Amino acid sequence: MATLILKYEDEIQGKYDLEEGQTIHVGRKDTNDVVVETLIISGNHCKIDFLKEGLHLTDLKSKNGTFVNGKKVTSSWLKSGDEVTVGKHALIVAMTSEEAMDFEFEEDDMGKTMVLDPGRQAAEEPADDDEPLDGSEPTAVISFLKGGQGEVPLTKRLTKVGKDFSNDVVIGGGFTIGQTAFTISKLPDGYYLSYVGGMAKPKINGRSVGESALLHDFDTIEIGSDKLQFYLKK
Amino acid sequence: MITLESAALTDVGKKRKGNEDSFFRDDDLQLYVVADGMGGHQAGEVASNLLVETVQGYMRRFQEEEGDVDELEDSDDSLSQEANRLVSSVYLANRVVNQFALSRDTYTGMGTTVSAVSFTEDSFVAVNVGDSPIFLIRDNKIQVISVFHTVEAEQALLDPEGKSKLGKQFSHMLTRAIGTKESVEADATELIAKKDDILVISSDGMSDKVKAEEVLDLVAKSKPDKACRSLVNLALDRGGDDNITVVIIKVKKLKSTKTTKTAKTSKTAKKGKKKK
Repeated sequence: MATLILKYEDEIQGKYDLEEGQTIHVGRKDTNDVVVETLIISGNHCKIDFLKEGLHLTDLKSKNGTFVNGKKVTSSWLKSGDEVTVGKHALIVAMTSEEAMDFEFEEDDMGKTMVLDPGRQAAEEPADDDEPLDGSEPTAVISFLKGGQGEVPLTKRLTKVGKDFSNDVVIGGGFTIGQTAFTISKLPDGYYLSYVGGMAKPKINGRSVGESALLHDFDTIEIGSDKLQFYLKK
Repeated sequence: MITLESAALTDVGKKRKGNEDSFFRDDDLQLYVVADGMGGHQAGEVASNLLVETVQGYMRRFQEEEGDVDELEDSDDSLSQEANRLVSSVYLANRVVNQFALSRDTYTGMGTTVSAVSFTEDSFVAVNVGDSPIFLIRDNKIQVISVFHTVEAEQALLDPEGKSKLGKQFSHMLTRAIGTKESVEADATELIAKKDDILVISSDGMSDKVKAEEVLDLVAKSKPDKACRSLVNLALDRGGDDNITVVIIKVKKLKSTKTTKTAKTSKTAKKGKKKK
């Protein structure tokens, strides 16, 4: 048996067991076995097959790549202790089956992989913390996590979101959703979300928005059954 | 259409001989402008006046001729058509003031700030060049929605720690103004209007003397005309070193959703015709 440990920074977010003959899919879409709801990760990002010969990783033409121990790969065999990086998340491979015992990692190696910063390897991630103030401004984007597909760059100073087709971003109907449900405005100090109308009020990271609120990188916006993510793209 | 209630007040202050501020306020046109002029020999007054007249004249033509005015070519895709109009009016005013400045020796180097707000069916646009602030009061919070084009503000943006290195003379040194150069770039913001939103546009004669929190306190609890008086009086009490101008606009009522839809459809239809 093999176990994949999903980590974000130092936090373990999940453990996934797989037996020979099984496959684990990793991606943003909820059809995957390992679902990571962040935009750096593609809808269907990569898969890991437990073949007779061992664990095999395949990158599913993901946008930002899949890395094994810091090296970008399109496909690779995995051994115990390997660290697979997707976006800012890491999957640590732990083999427990007898035939994999040969590959059992030393404790020192385990220690080494733990300090790797997955974020640093994924060089093509959409946003970075050390954005220079005087450099080119990042484009803000909202991307559908649920209820729609694709991403919408917020190129306008005022972007309207709602069920009416006159909006810049049209979201799923439902009578609780406003004709224009909310807007996002670019102000000197950032992007602000304002609630406009409809029974369904937008939520930012699960919290209801009163009148308006400043948006932060990677905030999730929920409206009715739709889920969007706000982020800054270089 | 959004129903608005507004008031404006200007005062020469206690130290200056003339008033170089100009303002415009019209609830039918739903346009509000504050301009703080600069330049000796009354040139500042001329500059701020010219700006206000040009902006309101341009915006009025759109309303009266129902949009059959040639749009300026240098429109910004990130802004709505209505916002582009206000920006265009500011750019036109820049050329007018600049030509005036070049026409006579006494006008050399004259210029003005501009902070203008106009309303559309459901939103408002705030455009500015210079350091006359535009405040938005919403949800009992106050924030500045204009951009300060001063050496100090821009330096602070690049180097948050370095502010103290600059002398006091830089706090009002503008990096941009209307009329001083052939072309200028304005900053613009568009926001959806909400009931009870209050906008305060002022010259620095007010904002130098009264803190944002005090503006919030004074404006939130009284009607626009009374609030204008309180703000001007407070600035006068604290020295009145400069001309003081305050314009306050309150969103009284938003139109019903139904009217928005019809209005929008007819507008799109018109646009389609134009393209042919």
